[in-house]
Amino acid sequence: MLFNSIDFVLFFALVYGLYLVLNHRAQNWVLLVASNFFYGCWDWRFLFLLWFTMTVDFFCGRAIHRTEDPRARKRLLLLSLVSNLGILFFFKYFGFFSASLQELFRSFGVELSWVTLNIVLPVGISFYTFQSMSYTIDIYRRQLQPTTRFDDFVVFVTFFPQLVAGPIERASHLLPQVLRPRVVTYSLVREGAWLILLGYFKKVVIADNMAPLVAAVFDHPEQAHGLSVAAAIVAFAFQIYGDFSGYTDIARGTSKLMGFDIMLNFRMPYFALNPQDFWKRWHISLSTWLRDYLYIPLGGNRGGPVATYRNLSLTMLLGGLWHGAAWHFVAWGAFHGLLLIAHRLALPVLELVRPASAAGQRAWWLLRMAVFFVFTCFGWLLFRVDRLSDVPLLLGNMFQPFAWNGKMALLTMACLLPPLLLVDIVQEKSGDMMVVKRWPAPFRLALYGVLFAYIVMTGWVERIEFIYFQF
Amino acid sequence: MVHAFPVIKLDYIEAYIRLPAATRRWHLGLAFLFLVILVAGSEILRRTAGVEPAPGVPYMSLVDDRLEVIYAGSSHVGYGIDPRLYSMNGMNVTAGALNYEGIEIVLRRYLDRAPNLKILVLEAGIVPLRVDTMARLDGDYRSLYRLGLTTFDLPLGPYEKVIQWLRESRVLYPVYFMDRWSPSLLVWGTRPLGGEGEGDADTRGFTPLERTISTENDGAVVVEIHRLDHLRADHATRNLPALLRILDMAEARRLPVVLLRLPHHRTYVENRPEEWERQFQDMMDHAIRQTSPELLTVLDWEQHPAFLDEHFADGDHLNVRGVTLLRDLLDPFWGRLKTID
Repeated sequence: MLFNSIDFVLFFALVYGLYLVLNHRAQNWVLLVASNFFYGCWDWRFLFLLWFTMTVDFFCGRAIHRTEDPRARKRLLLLSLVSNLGILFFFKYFGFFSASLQELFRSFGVELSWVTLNIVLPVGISFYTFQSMSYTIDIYRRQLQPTTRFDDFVVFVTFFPQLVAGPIERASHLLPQVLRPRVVTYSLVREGAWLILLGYFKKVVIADNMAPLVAAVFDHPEQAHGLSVAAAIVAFAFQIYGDFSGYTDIARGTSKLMGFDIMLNFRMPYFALNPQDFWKRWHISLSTWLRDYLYIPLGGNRGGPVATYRNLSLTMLLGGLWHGAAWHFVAWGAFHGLLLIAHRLALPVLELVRPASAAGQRAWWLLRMAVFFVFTCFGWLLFRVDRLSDVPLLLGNMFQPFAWNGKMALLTMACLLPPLLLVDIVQEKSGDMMVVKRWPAPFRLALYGVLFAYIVMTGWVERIEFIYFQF
Repeated sequence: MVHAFPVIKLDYIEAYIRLPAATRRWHLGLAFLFLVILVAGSEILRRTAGVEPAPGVPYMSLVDDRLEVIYAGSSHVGYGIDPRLYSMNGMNVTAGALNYEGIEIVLRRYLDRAPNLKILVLEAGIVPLRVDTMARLDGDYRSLYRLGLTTFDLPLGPYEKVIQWLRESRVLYPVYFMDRWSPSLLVWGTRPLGGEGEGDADTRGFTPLERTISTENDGAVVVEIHRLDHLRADHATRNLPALLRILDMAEARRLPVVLLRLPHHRTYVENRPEEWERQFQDMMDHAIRQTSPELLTVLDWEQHPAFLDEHFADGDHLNVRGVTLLRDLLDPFWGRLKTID
């Protein structure tokens, strides 16, 4: 069930109608049933997998909390990690590693023949696995009290707005909201409605209109050349931003309507000045998850520069692999790892060349933002290609032979991006993600009207799935 | 006794009523604005896209007592048979990825309106047997409406029919199905009524293909597309019974049926999974066992030697030269079949 479908609108209307007139305990039951129905609409068989993961983590969490024996605690944590990561590995990475090993041996002239499984990837597995896993880890670290109610834990893991594509919530943030009665305030409803409108605009107008422009180039890289390649890469930058942050906005919006506050996942990422800044703005729930559960346990920046660089590289490599079982995702992660290291190394030089005057500072800010956007786009090239060999092909084709083509992509961006850029700019300048709420009524009315008109006139309803569902 | 923790509570409704009147007026204004934009936008889209003809009317007008032959099947029939070239008055009942289940629904509407029908030509193929038309069309059923079906004729569950009915309501239809006001349309391509290459009533459901086969679209490529194209063994569990019901329906009317396997390029035959062929033969066995021999003619021309590379538009569709050659081979049969009754 896609957010951008009539089915979801009817589903949510029904769930919300019930939710508003029920008491807290009944609300949780409605959420439990609705969330499982929502997930089961994709493939009900994978509900068993989801429930297995939740059962293991719930009981491991309780057992870890009950025992003081460090070895037993470690064993229980290991059981939770192995079962979570084992399922994730089997469903997401088995085929990839098996094929890669076969390829490697073949290059040495050795033919390996073993069973290759055609495994269907359960939707949202990477998201809910990480969310559920953080629960047991936090209990192990004594940062969280386990819940005694399995039904509430199920609501925490399967909460339908964010189940299949995040944000990856932490138990310490979401679980208390499940346990305690929620209050749907007028302010929350206003914020939620705004986020839903913005999210639909980002998805059906921006992302889905960029999709054909991007596919025209990336699906036939050998035929693409000239400016159209660069235009397609930039279009993809906005497609993936519109798609993923649009999903998050709708997820956050629907949650707010029900009195939940789920974490911010995007904060105007293309205004980032450097890689560190970018990862504080892009897929924040994943970057902070990787920081807290991978980078810091690896040693973080505590072991000197070399260890820091190693930890950064490893974290970003695994972050890339989290997105998908393909080498181009690994390359994307590695590229961002390199960017983070290069930026750390270049920091003293950047401080030296920073201009002192106000005008110079503004120009410097703009320059850094533009340069980093180019780096980001190169990353998206790695992310979007079907195979790594398409990267040199597309980069070569961009200049050989060069042509002033791709005008349609540029025109589409020029027509559709202004409302998004306007919203992002005012949010960035004010530092307030809800600044629009404080605009005078006529301005708000105009903005709402423009966004909705864009959706009606230019949005592709129910045409394309969300990109991050595949992860 | 008042329950301490009532399951049902109306706090939010009461809280909304307590909001200042100006706030509630603002909400009403917003809802009105959205409604106006939706209705006006929908109307603009409808007018700029051109008025949609009443679906199915031109097709249904072809189905009368003059109709002698119906050629029913998937795109292979739509591209392969030009009824205008044949000696008997005929029409194509085709849509991209039309399966036997779909053909049956259409024929149930058509047969009573065509009392003088002399021959029913049914595509004998793996596509109508294994494809899930509804999944393949993915909510855009205009190619079926073109044939005279309505939402409520479609093989959908009650819930899906209601959702589809909503999508096709006057206001939402343009938003769902008509071309957007976006420059990306020029890249994405417009979506003509009835889908691409579906033919129309003027051509009696025939769409000529001028191109010839190449490595870009040969049988290997087409087989791969068919694999991805909802061509699954389990769909045959619905399509085979539908085919048998069509044969029953024809037999009840003493209507001769030709099960015609259209020519496929050799690259298609070479690359096709063996399982497809086994399942096809199983279907033919069922059909032959069930139908009176005097009413059933099987023409397996998949590898007819007269068809050369130059007759194919791709791995499994004929081009205009192939269409003419097929007419030359097929038309003489009609004279013989006509003598049955």
